[in-house]
Amino acid sequence: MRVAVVTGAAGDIGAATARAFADAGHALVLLDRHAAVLPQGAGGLALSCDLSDPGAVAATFAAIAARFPRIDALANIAGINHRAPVCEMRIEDWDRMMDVNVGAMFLTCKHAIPLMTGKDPAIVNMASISGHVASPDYPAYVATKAAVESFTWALSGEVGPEIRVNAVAPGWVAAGFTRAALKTAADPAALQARAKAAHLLGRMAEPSEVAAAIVWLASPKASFVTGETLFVDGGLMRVH
Amino acid sequence: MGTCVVTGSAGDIGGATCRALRAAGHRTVGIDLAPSPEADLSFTLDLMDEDALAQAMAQAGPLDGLACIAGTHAMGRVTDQPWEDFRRVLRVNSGGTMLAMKHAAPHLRNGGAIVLMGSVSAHIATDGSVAYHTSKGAVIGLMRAASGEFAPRGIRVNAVSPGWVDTGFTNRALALLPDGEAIRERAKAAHILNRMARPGEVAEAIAFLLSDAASFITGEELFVDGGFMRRK
Repeated sequence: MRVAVVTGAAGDIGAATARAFADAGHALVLLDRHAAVLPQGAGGLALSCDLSDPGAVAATFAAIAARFPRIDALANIAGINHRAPVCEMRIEDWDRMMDVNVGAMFLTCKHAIPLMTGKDPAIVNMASISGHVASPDYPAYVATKAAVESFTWALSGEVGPEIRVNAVAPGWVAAGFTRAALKTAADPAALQARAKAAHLLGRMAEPSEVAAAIVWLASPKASFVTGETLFVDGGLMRVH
Repeated sequence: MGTCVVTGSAGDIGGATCRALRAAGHRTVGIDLAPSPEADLSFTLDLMDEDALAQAMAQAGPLDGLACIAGTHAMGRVTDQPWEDFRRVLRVNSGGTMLAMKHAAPHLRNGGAIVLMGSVSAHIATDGSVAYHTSKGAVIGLMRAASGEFAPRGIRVNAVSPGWVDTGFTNRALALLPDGEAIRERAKAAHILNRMARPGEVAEAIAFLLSDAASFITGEELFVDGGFMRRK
């Protein structure tokens, strides 16, 4: 049985990814600061962990190694967002964004790679179309998501051909970040309409659609895909 | 699962795509200059023959998906390639793809999907293949344009871009070169995965993009290149 580690598993995309991995027959290790719940019928572990804390990540992967002989898939989904234009952003908030969105991914990869000793192991990182477009008031998010892609490309060369490393880049997803943006928007209905219209498909992604791409990239069916960013964006990047 | 049309279905990638789609439960209809043993139904025709193509699509439909894989190659530089060779490669690789979409469109169900065959050759260049590089750049532009055109019907349009694939197409191209075997070894090393793709690996990506698992992916070029674009 393949073993999949999912970070950010208490969030919408993380939970959907956990379900999709379970449906594909994986044992699960769910990691999150908050309590993640194993999908019904799925075996594995759900562990609380501050993924930006190096000591906590090391201890968590030691616990994983004690339970499972290897890791076959690592999906780095944990991420946070912070709205502040550059001139109003505190360095502490910038650092926090970098620590969680980029640093946590680095730490989980560092500790997972020695355990990825099976057949066609794969890592999938959570990028975003935000790494490619101007998102006013979200400079830290944009910077971290561009960094996720660059890290993905660098790591693909470092651990290939044994381990494949890819990223998925969603547009708007009907999930936590979107709910938060709508909550603080001056005109939520207008923002929602704009967000839907930004995609060729005229709607936002469901978390399960992002999850399906992650699970495919992590599967042996994607055995010749590495160093790639797969846009799951309903054609958003194609619209101008 | 419904019917998918595969052009270039007599070739290695086309045949593998038929196998992958059949394994996923689809009925496959092959279109090629030669018969397609891997397809459930095979049409032998030239994609430039619009009447025959339209008739084949009508007989094949209704359709869930279309994979435009047919392609050709001719060595030549800007300064020495005969116009006829350049034009033939453009006509088959981009024109044939455009016509396959044009005549499949009336029979594609709303919410269906199309996958075109791109290549890393749309993004990098090796000397002596000017027509092929040009044609694959055109295919990627065609994919982006068509993704907007088909979006109101919920039909997704994407491309798969391989690096080197271990096929008869590759072997014939290498055989034309005096240092073909040396190039083959360099080609393998040009990928992070240190080998060429197997046709089945390209086929799996095509089958994924045609499937409902890719329901929010459109206008996208998926590189199935073993990290070729990342290795410099």
